[in-house]
Amino acid sequence: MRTVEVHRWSQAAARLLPPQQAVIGRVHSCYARILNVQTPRGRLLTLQGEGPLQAPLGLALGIDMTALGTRLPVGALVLQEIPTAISLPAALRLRCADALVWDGQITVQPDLSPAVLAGRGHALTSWLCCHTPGHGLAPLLRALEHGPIHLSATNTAVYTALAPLWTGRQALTVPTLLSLVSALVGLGEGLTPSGDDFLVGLLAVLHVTGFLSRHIDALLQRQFCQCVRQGTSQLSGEFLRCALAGHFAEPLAGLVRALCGAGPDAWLGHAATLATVGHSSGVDAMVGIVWGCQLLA
Amino acid sequence: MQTHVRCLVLFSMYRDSVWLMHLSYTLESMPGVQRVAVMMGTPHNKALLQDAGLLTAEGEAGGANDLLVCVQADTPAIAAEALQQATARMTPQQGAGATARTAAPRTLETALRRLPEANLACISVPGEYAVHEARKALQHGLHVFLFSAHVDLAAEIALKNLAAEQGLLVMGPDCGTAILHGIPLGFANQIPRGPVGLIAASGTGLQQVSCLLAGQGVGVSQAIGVGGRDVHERIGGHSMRAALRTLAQDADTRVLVLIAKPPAPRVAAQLTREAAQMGKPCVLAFVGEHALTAESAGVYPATTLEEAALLARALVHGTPAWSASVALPASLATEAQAASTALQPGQRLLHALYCGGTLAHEALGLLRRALGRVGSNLDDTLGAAPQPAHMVLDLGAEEFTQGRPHPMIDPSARRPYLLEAAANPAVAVVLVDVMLGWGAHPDPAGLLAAAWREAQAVASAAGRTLVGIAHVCGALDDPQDFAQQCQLLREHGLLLADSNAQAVRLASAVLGVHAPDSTAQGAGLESPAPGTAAFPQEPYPPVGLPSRLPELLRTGPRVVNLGLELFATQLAAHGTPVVHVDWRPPAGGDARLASLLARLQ
Repeated sequence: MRTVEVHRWSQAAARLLPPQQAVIGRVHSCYARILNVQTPRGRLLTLQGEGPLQAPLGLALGIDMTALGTRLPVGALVLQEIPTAISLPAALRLRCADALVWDGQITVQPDLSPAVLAGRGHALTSWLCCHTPGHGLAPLLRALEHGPIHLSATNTAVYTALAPLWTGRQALTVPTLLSLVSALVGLGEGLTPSGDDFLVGLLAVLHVTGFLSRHIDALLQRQFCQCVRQGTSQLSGEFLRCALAGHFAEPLAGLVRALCGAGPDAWLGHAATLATVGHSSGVDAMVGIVWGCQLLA
Repeated sequence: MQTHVRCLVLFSMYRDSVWLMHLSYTLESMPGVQRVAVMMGTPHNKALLQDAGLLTAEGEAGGANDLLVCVQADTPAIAAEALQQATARMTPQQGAGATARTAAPRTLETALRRLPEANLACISVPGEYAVHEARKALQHGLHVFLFSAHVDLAAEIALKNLAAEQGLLVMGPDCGTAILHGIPLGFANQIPRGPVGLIAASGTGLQQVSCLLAGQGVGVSQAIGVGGRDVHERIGGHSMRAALRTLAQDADTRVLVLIAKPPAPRVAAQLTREAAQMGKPCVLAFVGEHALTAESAGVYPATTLEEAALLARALVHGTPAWSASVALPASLATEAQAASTALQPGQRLLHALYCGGTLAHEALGLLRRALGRVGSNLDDTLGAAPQPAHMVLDLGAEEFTQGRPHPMIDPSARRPYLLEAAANPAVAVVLVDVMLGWGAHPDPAGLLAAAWREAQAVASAAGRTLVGIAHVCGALDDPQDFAQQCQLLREHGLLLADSNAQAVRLASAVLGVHAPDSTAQGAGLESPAPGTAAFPQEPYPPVGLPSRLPELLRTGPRVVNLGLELFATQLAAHGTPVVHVDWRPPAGGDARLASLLARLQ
């Protein structure tokens, strides 16, 4: 058993762990310097080493995660290091009291004009076509303009799902958004399937433009969560649920905030960072952002 | 060009995307491999794979949290080799932590050098080697949790006598469950600590009572499994009696519960007499035993596991008279009525498909009282029952588990019997248990839900509907997420009962039959029913208090694990000191040579 200091965590993660709560959860899964812990209420916290928080419910620990991961099997009990937990058995204890809180919530940007949105979307499209042309869902960006030629099976399926909204046959409403979620959730390669990453990017744009703040209600949340629960893995589902609530991982939140900010090129560094996330997760999320910008602009 | 497709499902497997792509490239580069897909088994991905001709029936079994590796190759052998590669690359990171992974010791003795303070050996090696390892463990002063089955009776007696000489306890053979000092061993649930001490010659019986207690907010001080055969006439309840004496002196235990399928009459008599002398209230849950009544104050017979849990809770709370109702709650009665109206006139049979042996045994007894003739593999009455008939199957019995894992580990064994029930026009109700806890499948409800969808489709195609009734035997803090498992089954239209006995009552209600009240009616705690059963059998010689057992219960287990690595994993998950032995059969598996070597040593 060991005790580890949490250096930094997202506000969403901090909210899930009140200071007096002894049980944090159990190890759910473990891979490449990431340890996911499932709370008793079924939420998934992501434990990582130092650096930008890779998940909306992320906790950065001051420790070598490779070494930690090999010692903790799936199911291992993780507790908070507080007096009431001293007598409980645990494989890992986290000291959270002094952790810095990072706010990963994306909110409405009232000053964001459609012209700026379209411009930034266009710029990000050019960047993706230049730097990651064949990666993940990036080939869709050309296909949406020129038709679905030489697309992979995943890209073809995503293209088919997007086409009604892209061609204007449908307008973006709550029902069409839910159909889109239903068509894309759990679709494609990767630990977080490409369709899910795309939706996370799209949801970020729907938050900054105010679409979600205008339309979100209990029914939408329930239907969205049902879709996610039935359609994808617990881990990817957690990212999507957080995205609907406006909470995102740090690289994505950084890009979206920069895209909406004043400086026209401030986003470039953030795009380069996000592109390195996962095998294609970062790129897929950026394709979602681009598509959202252009659709809403 | 010929193509052969094979799929591998890696259940609850998570690897980052970069790793998955790397695996995909590696497999694709193998000579003779044409196409590879490595994807999470979400519904959309399975549809993509189906369209691409890369999904087989094996792959269909994967869910959204499982990883699918699908390979198309020139020959079946190449496809199989690719999948073997995939498995080999996946498994090294999935072990039981560093203790079990890095240069594990090969023998008990070496393990003891690494963990000299060990006080328990957890043994799950094949039965023919288990006795030898258990004897060695006892000689080294370790208590033994003997999960292995197929140990002969004489060897069991010898082990228990040796343990008694050493002041130690042998839990088993064939002991599936224990919770010592809050640490689950074998197939146990995550139960909070509290004042009830359980001693069980029944693994799923112990799980059911401990989970029902936990569900009522009552914790467990210790739960000691002793193996089903401990209550055999010739063993005489040796370990159960030793454990009883120990828990009677344990300050944290206020109420005792003994759990077993009906013991041999002489053993039942001995246990009842001794339980009455312990100075603590003791519930006797001898499942299916309806003749037993309390011999003296302080002993409370229960005919079902549910009743045992209710009695224990009442005793803990000092309730003056047990008034807990075990009738079907109104909401379930309404659901039963609604379900029965959807049945066709010819649908009148019940098929019960169990993973838990004691739960199957309990259901069989209760169903026979309610429905009359019921065939079962538990007492070889399947053939004897007229066709068609009600049926109870224990899918964990030896005839169903040869060459495959126990259905608690792999509940997919239930699927063909579900489909068979769905195709049978006379079947109305399917009754199932869902076992959660350590060691059990990570998502048993998910597998059941998928099979249930198929079964309903079969029934629906024939213009019928099936009524599914399930009891989820689990605790809130089990690794599988109890609430989510229940929710999933409800979403798939299964009716959920709070206990196994309640599931039987619910099934009976759907069939329009009133299940007889199985409880000891009118047995108040202040005045238990006077002893009416005569126990003329000669008493067994007294069993002493295992002098080293209180230390194990007070300080918790420190374990040397031989056999199944998953037991070391769950112990490590609780921060318990554990050393896993990379056990191999001695003398390369030659039993005769091994025996000679043992004698030489």
